[in-house]
Amino acid sequence: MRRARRYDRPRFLVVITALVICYLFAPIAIVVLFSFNKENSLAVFGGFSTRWYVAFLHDGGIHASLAASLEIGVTTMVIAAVLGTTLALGLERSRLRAARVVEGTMMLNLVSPEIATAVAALLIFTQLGITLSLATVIAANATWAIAYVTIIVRSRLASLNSDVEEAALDLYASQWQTIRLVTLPLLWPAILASSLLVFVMSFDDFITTYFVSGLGVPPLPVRIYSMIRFGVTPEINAIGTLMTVATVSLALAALALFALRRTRSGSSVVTDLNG
Amino acid sequence: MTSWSWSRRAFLRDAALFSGAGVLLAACGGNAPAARSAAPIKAKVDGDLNYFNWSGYVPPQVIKGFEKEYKVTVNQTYFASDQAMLTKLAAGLPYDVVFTNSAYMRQLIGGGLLREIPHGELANYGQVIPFFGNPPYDPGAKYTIPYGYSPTGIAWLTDKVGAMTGSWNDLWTHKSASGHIYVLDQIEEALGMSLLRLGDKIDSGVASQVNQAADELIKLKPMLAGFSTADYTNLENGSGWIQHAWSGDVYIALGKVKDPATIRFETCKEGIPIGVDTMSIPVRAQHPGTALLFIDWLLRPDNSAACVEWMGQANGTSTGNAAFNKLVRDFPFLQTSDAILTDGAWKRVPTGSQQQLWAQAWSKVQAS
Amino acid sequence: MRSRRAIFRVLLLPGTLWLAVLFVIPLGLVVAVSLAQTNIVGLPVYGLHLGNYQNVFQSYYLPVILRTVEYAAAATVIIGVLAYPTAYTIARFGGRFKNALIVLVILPWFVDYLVRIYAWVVILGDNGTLNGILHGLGMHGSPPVQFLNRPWAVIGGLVYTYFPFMVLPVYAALEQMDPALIEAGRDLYASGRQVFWHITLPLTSSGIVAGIVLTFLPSLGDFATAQLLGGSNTYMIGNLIADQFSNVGDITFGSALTVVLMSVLLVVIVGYLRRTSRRARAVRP
Repeated sequence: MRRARRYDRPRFLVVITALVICYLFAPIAIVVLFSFNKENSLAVFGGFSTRWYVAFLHDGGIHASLAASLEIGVTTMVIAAVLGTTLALGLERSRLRAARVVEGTMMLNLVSPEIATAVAALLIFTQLGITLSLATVIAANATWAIAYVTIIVRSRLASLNSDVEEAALDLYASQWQTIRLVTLPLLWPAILASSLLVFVMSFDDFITTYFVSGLGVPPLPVRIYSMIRFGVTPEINAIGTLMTVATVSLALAALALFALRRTRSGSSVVTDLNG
Repeated sequence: MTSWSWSRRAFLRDAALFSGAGVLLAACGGNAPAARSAAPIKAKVDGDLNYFNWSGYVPPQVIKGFEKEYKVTVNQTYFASDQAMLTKLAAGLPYDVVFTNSAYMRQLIGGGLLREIPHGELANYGQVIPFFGNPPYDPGAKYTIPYGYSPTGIAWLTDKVGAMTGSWNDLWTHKSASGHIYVLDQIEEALGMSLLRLGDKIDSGVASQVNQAADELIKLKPMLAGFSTADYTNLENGSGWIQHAWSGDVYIALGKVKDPATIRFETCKEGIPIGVDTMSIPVRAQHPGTALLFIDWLLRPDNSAACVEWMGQANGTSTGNAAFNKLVRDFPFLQTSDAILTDGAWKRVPTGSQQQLWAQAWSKVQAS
Repeated sequence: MRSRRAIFRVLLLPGTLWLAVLFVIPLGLVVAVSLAQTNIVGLPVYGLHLGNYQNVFQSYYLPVILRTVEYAAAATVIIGVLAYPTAYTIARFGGRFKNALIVLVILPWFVDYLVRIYAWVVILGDNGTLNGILHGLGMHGSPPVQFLNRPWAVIGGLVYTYFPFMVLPVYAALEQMDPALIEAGRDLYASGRQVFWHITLPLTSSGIVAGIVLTFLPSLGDFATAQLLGGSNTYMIGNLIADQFSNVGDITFGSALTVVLMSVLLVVIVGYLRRTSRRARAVRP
């Protein structure tokens, strides 16, 4: 590809990409701008001030909500990573007929509109008399999250040559040793990529969380949504801005990490996000 | 992605089996309403307070004051609609204090979800005005203490529309405001308003009347910007020229715009919808003693006045209503008298088959 | 051989159990509730009432279903048209900035969903940013253009929300493609256009299909976008279901709607799986 010819790089592609990036960032620019609004308004920008950051610093309720959302994100991620990976291994390697039913169920789960699974989760918790809380939010979020991990890890698993595993078994490694020492190391990038995806999605999740949250601190999206009637303030934009900054830092760190690993494993995190 | 042959029959069979399990489970799951706790509540701290309300409805400093005074934590959770509040209470969540709404009392009291509030335990109960000692939605005021009320009417931007007539027809007749008219996104407000306009009762359960009210709303839809409960935001950002609104929210909007003279509000001659946000203690409450102290805290004259100034609504206490009258001194169109409590049209969400009738009519309005 | 598979059968268990308890049984419960009636507080009283299904098939809900499919399809097409060139440009010409660029594209998605939607409200509002720009461009005196509460606002919101679900699989498919194939095509005197239509596009079709599934289906069930950006005539099926739970309190009707929606999806997904498995068989002689 050294001699990339001019006609291989049509200008319209670059223009579309640039426009797409502008479109994607327009709201982010607004979020950042209004986080510095002097007025208590999401409609009119009245001058520069850091009052909403000060408000955020002193708003214990928002901190608690942020912490609750982080807890949801991390716990959901761990559950989904463990169950999703084991499920992917089982589906790909067990060669059971019943595995097809499980796979079909998982696919249906993956594509179910969130409103449907949220309604179902609300009904089951209510009918079993389980108190709605952070735990129910995590359980409901982990349910859709497992499907994402399974799909991504499994597609990676399918592309691995199982000869290596067979060879390990021929050399009298136990099945568990084979998985631990041969298969899992090869799956790490996919597990990590899908875990990150699931973390972000559950941290940010609104629909499921709205339906099955109850007692305890309201997670961030639920808190923001319930501000609808009595005051959405630019404080939410300060939170949005801080979240962007945090994410960019994390993304940069992750990129640096993967740039290092890439040279060794020859795989990139994004390639593993193959749906 | 998949390399096996798909056996649909096998899948459907197993799926059916699983679903069967769900139905079975449903048959076993009991939902008998919780037995009403008989023992009267004592006003003493019995744990941290699980609080369930609209977000931002009680001033933060009043809640902080309570936490400091009684050395407890108020765990705040929020709902975004009254129906969501009912759903979560019906699900058996053990909140200690809930801000209920008078329109839902048939469900809340009839369904046995609330616990009796012993007035004798409330040091500041004397603040409550006589009307709320025996309100129409809760005879004897056994389950509710008023927190805030404001009539529903029509707000408009004077620089965009003129010639309002004090009738619900004003929502239908201003063709020039087409695309800038909002109706409240609450079934009892929207259907209730349409019923009043047609000369029917606000909580009519007569099918022909409800369907006609729905049809009228459907006729209005082409002119609507949408259904929205964010009434003051719509007024503030200028997208709502004519807004079906609560007067309390109009007061909030007045405080946010540069020129308050641009916003006006009217109540309508066909009937003034009225409802009260009330404080209740659910039967499942685990800390009813703290809840009682919290209710009493909000009734205390200084806090009561602070709440009124925060939300722009009267609250049914002598101190609070006096504070309210002072608050709206400059806005005659927001001033109300206690007469709206006796003469207003009390909003009520129907139950049983009438509830189905309303639900279908409302869904039809939204869908059409 | 049998013993070598044993551990994988064990590994299948935990995930299967989780899905059975928290996905399949709840769906069964939704079926049960859809056949129930509600009591005074809105909880289901089980029975065998078909009335809820009669209501689902009322003619006035048809426009909602058509509108939902229309919006979801429009959003999916627009996402595809925007995401493919973006992913293609980054994959082909991104060089060593590839990863950074793809992170840049999915970055907005890391800001809270509702915060982003509110930002769109600010941009599209009557007194909003876009109208401000139009005003600044010399359209003085003219009334503000109404962007909000319109179908395109909702579709735009859906595009914005589900964009990463197309970019990522398409990008992954492009990355896994051997660039030598393009060179080979060029060496055989195919035009750039021919190479794209006959080589690149077919080879990345799996990514596109995955992207379509992951954008179209969630769009079908979305409700917050239409609620916050839409108006009186942008009601989607997700709104209808959500309203049964949070506004009118008819969970039995909401469940019936959910069952019908899921049944349609089940048919689609079975068709999709059969198609892919047929193709997988066809590829292997």
